[in-house]
Amino acid sequence: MKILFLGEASSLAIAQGLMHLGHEVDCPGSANKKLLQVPEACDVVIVAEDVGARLLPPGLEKEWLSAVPCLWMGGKPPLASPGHAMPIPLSASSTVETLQAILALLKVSAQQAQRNALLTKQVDHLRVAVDGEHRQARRMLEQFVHNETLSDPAIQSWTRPADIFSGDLLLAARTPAGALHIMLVDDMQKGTLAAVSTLPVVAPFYRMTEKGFGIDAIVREANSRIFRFYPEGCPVHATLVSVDFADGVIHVWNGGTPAPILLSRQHNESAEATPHAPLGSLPPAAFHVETDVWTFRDKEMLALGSGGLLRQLAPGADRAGALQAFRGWLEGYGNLQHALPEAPSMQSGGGLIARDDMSLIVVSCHRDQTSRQDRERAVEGASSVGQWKLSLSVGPDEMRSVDVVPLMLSAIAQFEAVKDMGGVLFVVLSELYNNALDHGVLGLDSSLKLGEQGMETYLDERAKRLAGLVSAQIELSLVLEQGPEGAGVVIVCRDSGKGFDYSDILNRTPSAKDDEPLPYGRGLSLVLSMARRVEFNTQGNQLRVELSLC
Amino acid sequence: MQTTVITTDARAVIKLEGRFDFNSHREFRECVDGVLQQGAIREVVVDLGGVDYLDSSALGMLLMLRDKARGCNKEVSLSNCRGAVKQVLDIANFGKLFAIS
Repeated sequence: MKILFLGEASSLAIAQGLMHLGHEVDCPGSANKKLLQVPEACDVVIVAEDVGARLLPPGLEKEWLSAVPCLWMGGKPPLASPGHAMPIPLSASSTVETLQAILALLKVSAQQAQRNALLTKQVDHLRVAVDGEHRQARRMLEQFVHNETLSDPAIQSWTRPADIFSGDLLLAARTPAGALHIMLVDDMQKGTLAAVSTLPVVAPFYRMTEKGFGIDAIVREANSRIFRFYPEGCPVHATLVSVDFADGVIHVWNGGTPAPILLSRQHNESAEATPHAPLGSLPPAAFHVETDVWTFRDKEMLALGSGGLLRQLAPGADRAGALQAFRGWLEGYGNLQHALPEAPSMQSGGGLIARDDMSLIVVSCHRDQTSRQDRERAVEGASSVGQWKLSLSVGPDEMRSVDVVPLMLSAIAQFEAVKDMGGVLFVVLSELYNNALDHGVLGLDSSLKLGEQGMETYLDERAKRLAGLVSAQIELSLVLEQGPEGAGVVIVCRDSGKGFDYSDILNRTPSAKDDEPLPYGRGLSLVLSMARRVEFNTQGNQLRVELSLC
Repeated sequence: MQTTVITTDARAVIKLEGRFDFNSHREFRECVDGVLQQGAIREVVVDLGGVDYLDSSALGMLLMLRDKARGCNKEVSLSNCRGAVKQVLDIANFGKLFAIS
């Protein structure tokens, strides 16, 4: 070790002894000169009693002694041990051997200190990197979460983010029929993990809402996505609601976040949602979606609060207590029609800073008959392209004997507005009718078509089941409609079958772009690429396809 | 749907007329099997000029033909595609899978 030895003639023997043991010893004190600078280039300072503090630069003693470990031989050190310095009193009789043992210990602790300093530095670096990631994750999510959709006139909302992103997400969008879908995601993860784990639910929410799926289908899809992406388990706590203003119906699915509350105007009655397991917690086959269905008359209020908000309102309360506090807090703000309450202070009673995001979304549930009137008016407006509706309903006998699609097509060809759409209409009608018949009514599975003789097997099975069919119905209708994107043809096909999980089928449908497609499953993707809108009903036994007039 | 096969040297043209949909499956398959059995034929052309409409199972049948033809080293192409037929083939991106004229 490098030793700075401050002592005079009587103790120099010790310095020499240390030198013999291989230490590098500097003895400036023997020349009786003052040291002016803090010694940085040595590992340890040894001060011998006979020199005392005389050699230490006046006014700098403290800095001097705290810079490196200092061994004070004999007597008392002149200062209380400052900072991390270790002034160790030694008796005058200390031998070189004792010193050697102490030096060895010092060496170990110096190495330890060095390692600690390095670790601290690395942790600081990591913290900076992680903070940067959090900011980036939040920015990314904000891109995903089209904030403008929250400007929907029926919604008031705020989010109070915590220091680190902690997984609160508010999403809102309207279905083509005008129903409002809201999703509140309240993830238990923190930071980047929260941001990443919520991603698989954002895209299906918007995509499926746009296509007119019900929230039950969206919940099912979100669950299987999260389950597929994070099989080790990374459940996402979320609540989805759908508000149909025309019919006054609310569907609620509550999975792990505080239950949404529906408050009537007088606040004398309220409904609470049934809790379910969070998204991604069960394999798709074991995950059954049941929504609560509420009705509202008028001017009622639906409120969703995140876990962070409820914990802030009622620290330490259980589920029931927190909901009670939430309801009380909401009621305290009157009917909330105009002003949303302020976020509760981040400073809770105990003086703790909230580490969670806090989010609140409030929907004014007004009955709105105009959306229905709009739809009716749209049909009237279609007179410029004609005004007709064609519908056909067939039972088992007709399914066996009538060539339904060509029959409809030949009728359609008489109408001016759609006479050039034969190719597209044929594909859509035959796809809808054949799917309804083969899969909806006859319950055939397309995977029968696989293999060399697959198609034959499938057609034989189809003929057999069709021959034995006793009761069934398929309704096919075409109508011209004036939508926001201009005139269009709306084709609706409904069958008496038990219905399908269409979100599942859409996922399996091979893309038309695949180089090596399966011998089946192309139909629905064809329809999707031709239509400007495709909607399924919740049961999955009715498809509504909207095509632009060409 | 009606099928006609015209063979010249190593080339067979399968001419289809009418509505090409899943009802045509057996007919199309028998016709294809007959053509592919002939070892001398190296090229199969499906002439869709007389087809009014085709649906997704017709697309499946064309893919089946392509796979079988590959298995015995024959080329498949689609010809005379227009109107409703062309529209459907374009949407299904069949240009990537077949030579189309």
